Amino acid sequence: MATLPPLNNLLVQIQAALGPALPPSLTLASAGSDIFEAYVLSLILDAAETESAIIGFANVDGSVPTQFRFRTSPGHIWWDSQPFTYATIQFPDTPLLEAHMGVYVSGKSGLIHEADALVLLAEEATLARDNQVPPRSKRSIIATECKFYAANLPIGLARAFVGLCSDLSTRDCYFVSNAGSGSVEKLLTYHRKHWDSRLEPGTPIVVARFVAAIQSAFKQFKARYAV
Amino acid sequence: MTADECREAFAFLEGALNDYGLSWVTTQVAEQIRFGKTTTRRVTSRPDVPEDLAVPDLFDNRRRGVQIPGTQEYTDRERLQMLSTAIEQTFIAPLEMEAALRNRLDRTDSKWSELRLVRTDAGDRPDLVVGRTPDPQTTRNVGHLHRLLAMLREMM
Repeated sequence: MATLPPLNNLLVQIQAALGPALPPSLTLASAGSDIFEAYVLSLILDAAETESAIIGFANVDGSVPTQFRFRTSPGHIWWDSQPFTYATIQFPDTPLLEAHMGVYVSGKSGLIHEADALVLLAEEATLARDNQVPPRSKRSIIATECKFYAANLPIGLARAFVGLCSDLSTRDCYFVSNAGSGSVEKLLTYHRKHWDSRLEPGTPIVVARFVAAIQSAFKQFKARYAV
Repeated sequence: MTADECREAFAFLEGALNDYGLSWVTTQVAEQIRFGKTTTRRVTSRPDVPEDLAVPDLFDNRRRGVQIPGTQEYTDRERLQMLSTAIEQTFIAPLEMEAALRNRLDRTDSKWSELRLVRTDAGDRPDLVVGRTPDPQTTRNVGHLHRLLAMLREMM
């Protein structure tokens, strides 16, 4: 085992190592959140692929992307100020699905909410783009709320998610975070919500559990919509 | 490490993070510390029974134990562990997530050039760009930081 340096020496080394290890973009909390949201979307696509889907990508202007451009701040699905990208998910003998990041969706109350990652029927997405209205949550399959935190999650996030779920008709709503919190987990469990905490590549068991849960949602979609 | 050393190390690293513009990290850690550690305590209670009751056995007069949630302060060691975990979550996990994203895109589209994460509500914040290949220098630097943090944990 290597000999540990004296504490003060180690702290100075850590201080010196922080700067070079820090990409400039990560000085903002939002940057970590953006990467996390994209990572969660990639796990959803992994789950779809495992369930025999063919994955593709398209831009909102109809072009095929080589440079992928995902929106991480909330926006309407029809906004084309930039050629935003979304994924397509095609299971055999079922309607086409689309997966988006950071889009608005309408709830039961008629209010509009943001979904960090949303999987919905392509037919509904097209209808929303053509008519410039937010897609209806009842035509979506999966909605995820993604939280990237450096420390434990505050309980208010779980309270907000419980409220959000009560207004969304999405079949499966998930609360996922890279961080954890006993209080948040307890509240979400009490209210029978889907959640996963400490979701990151370094926790393969959590990743596998989340992907399996999404696979289960896709399994039910296939059973329901199979032609 | 003694409690004093943990406290001093915490203050040193907190200052370093703030100097690098990562006050959002130290703020989140400070919020967690302020809230405290959630615990439950068992307390006992005795129901109010009128003294001049005609039928004394009507009420159960036993003391009852109930679990009440509460909070208690984190120790200095726990605070330092929390801060070192926060550094890992901020520096190391996003790099691993970027690698997973590259892997995903490689499997779907062999011709992709880059992934841009666009935040339209953040003024002039530049797009976050994930290229096809990771920057080897950043990977090395993050690996070095990871090793140093592991040493710190070993000393705690």
